[in-house]
Amino acid sequence: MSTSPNGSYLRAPVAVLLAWLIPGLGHIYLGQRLRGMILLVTITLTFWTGVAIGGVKSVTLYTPAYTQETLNQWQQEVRKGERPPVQLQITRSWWFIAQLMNGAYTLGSYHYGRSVADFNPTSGRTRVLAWPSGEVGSIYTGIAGLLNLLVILDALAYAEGLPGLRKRFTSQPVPAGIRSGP
Amino acid sequence: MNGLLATLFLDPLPLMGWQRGLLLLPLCLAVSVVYKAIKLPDLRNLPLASAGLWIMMVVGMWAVALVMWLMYQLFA
Repeated sequence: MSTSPNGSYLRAPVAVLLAWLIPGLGHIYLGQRLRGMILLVTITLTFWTGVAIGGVKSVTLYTPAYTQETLNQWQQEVRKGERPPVQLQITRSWWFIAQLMNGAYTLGSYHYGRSVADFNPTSGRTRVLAWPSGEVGSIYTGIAGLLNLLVILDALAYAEGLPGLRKRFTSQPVPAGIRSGP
Repeated sequence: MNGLLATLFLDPLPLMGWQRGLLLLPLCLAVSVVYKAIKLPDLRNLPLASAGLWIMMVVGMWAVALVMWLMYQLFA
């Protein structure tokens, strides 16, 4: 790990942590304020648009797998005050790995989503496995996470002054005073 | 309106068939803006560069979709 012009060994780890926690914050910390603000606004809008489309349940590690028959039965019975259907099995949502790159947004949504019922008790509409909204929500939030992974790598390259990584992801010159990689 | 706001971010939005195609536009715009914001040394070129990439992505993906739809119609 190289040192920054002010000699801080924490520059790169702090930049990466901030970039993971809130998209663009790493660049703002490194002095790239305009670039950081653009990244912050764009990735934040993409993530929360996905949550608005697919609902908070589209940000989840495990998706309960209901059969269509069970979903239809629940929607008929919900007005009678019946209990929710038995969860049949659990499927793993691989999009969550990409969503996790959004740091605080994903952790907040995931935590809130766990406290919300799988079905709206008033309307009887499902909040999980909604087609196509749920899929679109997962794709939007997942793509936002993958974009933030790119931003995290760029913040790391900028903080460390790694020419190889930097050449691959960006054409910005390495700032003066930062030692190049090994 | 209040009902919509109460369920926004909680319940999935109902999407109609042709609206799904339009959802490609903001997603491609986000990808192009983020990519160009990282790539460009001078951010004054960002609007033009990201708009060009956005158009290229949207036209390319709709072209692929059209070709696949035509293949489906011909061979399915």
